[in-house]
Amino acid sequence: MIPSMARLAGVMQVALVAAFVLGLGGAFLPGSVGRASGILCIGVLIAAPILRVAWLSASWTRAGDRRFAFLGGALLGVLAVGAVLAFVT
Amino acid sequence: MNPVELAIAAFITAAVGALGGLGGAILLVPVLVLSGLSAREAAPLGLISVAAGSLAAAPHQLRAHLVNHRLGVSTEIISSVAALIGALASGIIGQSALAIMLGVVALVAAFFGARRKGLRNLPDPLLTLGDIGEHSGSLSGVYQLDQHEFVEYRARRVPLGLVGMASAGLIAGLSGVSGGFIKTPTTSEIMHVPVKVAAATTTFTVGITSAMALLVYEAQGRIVVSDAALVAASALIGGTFGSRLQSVLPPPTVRRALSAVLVVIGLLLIVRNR
Repeated sequence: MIPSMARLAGVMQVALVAAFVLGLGGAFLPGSVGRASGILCIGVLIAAPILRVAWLSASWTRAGDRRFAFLGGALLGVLAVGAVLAFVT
Repeated sequence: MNPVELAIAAFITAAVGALGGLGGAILLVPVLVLSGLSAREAAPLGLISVAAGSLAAAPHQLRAHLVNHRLGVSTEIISSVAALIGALASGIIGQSALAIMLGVVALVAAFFGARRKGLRNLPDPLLTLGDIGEHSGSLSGVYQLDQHEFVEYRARRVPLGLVGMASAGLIAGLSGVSGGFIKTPTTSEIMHVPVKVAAATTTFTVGITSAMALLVYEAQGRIVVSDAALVAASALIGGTFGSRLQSVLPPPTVRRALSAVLVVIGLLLIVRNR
């Protein structure tokens, strides 16, 4: 396996376990601790795919695959514009 | 729906979503609405299921080199732009007409998926374990069909595929469901990418779409945290199970399972919105 992809798989594994534990906390812990745990779980679910695209773009840049590195950056740009538009409108 | 039923529904829909590369929302949202939840409450839970299913499948699919990230990123740009346009224009088309249109699209996709027999991309005896993965600088790669067989593929008819992805994004933006049930058949049947790679790549891209949509729902205060956390935990287990099942099943079986699920989705959408 390409080392960068192996590390990315490891990072996603950590995110998966963290989201699961936080999800259980959000579902079963009472009060503000449970709510904080649930919100953090949702945060991990939102951050993971964005981190994955950023990681891939950086990896492609290092490997000299400029066309796809640019496309990865463009996708992150579209996501940023989309998020801003959604909050504004 | 009580918490146990919600957890079971999230587990099953995430597993099926990861198996077929559909995203679980297209299944979970109708189930939640049928159980009495409003569509407005059900949509965020559906997207939580999609995001969790996508994250759950990620480690295994990355290690198995099933995802073609270059294809996913390239197609997701046009799909995301179309989703944004769709979301901004969502008041123009009536929801019932849109749902019936989605149902017809699902049935057509199911027909074309089920009609095809055998493997389009045949194993190459010269390829080895060291060849698997996506190729740098192109929309191509090699994936492992079984223990000793490896298949080379290349995305074909890319412009037509991008039209399909734009349609998927537009429909996702208009309706609030993940466009995975259009993306996977488009990638597999139009772009001739093997169904396992197509499903895994779509599972990756629907995670991106759902992340953006969840930000919006969070800003609108539409996420009930305790329900969302329960759906997330259940869908994480379901998505892990579905992605592992996808790896061991032969591609024709995955394709037939995908077609069967699409028929159910199509009929549900048409019958509920007649």
